[in-house]
Amino acid sequence: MAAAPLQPQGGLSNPNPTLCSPSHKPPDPQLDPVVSEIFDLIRDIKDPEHPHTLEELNVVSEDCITVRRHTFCQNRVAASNTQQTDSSSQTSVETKSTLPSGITNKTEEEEEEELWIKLVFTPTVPHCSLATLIGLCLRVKLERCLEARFKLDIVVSEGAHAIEGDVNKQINDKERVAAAMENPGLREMVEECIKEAEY
Amino acid sequence: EFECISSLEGHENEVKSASFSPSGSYLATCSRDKSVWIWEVVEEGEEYECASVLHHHTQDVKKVVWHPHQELLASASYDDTIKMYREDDDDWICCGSLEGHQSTVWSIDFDASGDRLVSCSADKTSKSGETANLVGGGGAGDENVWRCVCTLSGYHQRDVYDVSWSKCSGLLATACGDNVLRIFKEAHSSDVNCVSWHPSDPSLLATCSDDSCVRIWRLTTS
Repeated sequence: MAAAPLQPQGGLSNPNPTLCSPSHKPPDPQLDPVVSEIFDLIRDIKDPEHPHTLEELNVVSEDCITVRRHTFCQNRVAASNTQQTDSSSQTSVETKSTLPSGITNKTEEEEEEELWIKLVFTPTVPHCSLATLIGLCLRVKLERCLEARFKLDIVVSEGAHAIEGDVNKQINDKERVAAAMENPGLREMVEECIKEAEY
Repeated sequence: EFECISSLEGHENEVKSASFSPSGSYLATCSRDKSVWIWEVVEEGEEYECASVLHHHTQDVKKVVWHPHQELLASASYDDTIKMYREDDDDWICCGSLEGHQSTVWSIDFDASGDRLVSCSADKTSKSGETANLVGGGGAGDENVWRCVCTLSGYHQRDVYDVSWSKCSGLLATACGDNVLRIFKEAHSSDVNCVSWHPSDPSLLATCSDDSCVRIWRLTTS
């Protein structure tokens, strides 16, 4: 990414982070299962600086995730073959297509659900230069592993960073995110942080 | 069959947008490297010479668009501003900076006349502005000032990535990160106070306005 430097300058920005023990309590039945699913994907992401997870460092928690369900109707033109169906010829397209005779064109209204997720994370110190990297790790992990249609906004918790406006802007600009992941050095750091622990 | 006839180098990272000027004499490009480059088109489009490298934006430049009739260029940036450029004595200068968006300006477009400009932003709004020449009658490039006349807010739920102003119908289309395409029509010359669909004809709509007009609209879909 262009703005904030992503390598700590000479030493850790927070040599003694406060740790919290990972929550081993049984899942709260009131909690939205989607929130649990999202948290399970991000809790073990490693902090770029310390040998601890984001959960252990209280950078993320279940409370930091809010999900809004967004339903909308998508008009789809589905081809239904009145003869023997060859599954490979069945297409669902959103534009008109010319079909051979014997096939009827039917407009279906499908209700689609999309999750609009907001993730608020708290870097360990306000001047943490790795906030953008953490934001990037969160986004890449979810975009790779969450099986759902979603929109994702990741923000630094208010007051938790000196330049939170700058950080938030970067980590939510999809072109900046794509550019960051094309940077081999950054990509390597992200992959290292999000890779699953080997048991 | 397309053949690559030229490769222009200079930008330091991704080139986001490229656009030919209305006369075809210039090509403008912009990049995440914060710069706007203007290339002079020579040898019938076979050769390009760098005419200017402009560093007026302080962040990534997302889009460049030319005025439909004049050699006036507009650029949109991550720095939340829109800048205008024109040629002055063999050199390109920045002749305006439009500020008002609260976040990245993703795109811009001129209307058919070039007297109006529309922009769209990560702040979830689209703004339109118009220009009035203050000095001389030499066209939009003279000491002109652009002022924002309209902000469309409350429609888009996420970043508005692109906007296009139809040169034939005057309709405005926006592309948004909430998966929706929106078409806007300027219906009146003042506040539109009421809108109502016909109860049984799905193509009829009525509006009334402070401009003292009542208008009936028919939607045609092919």
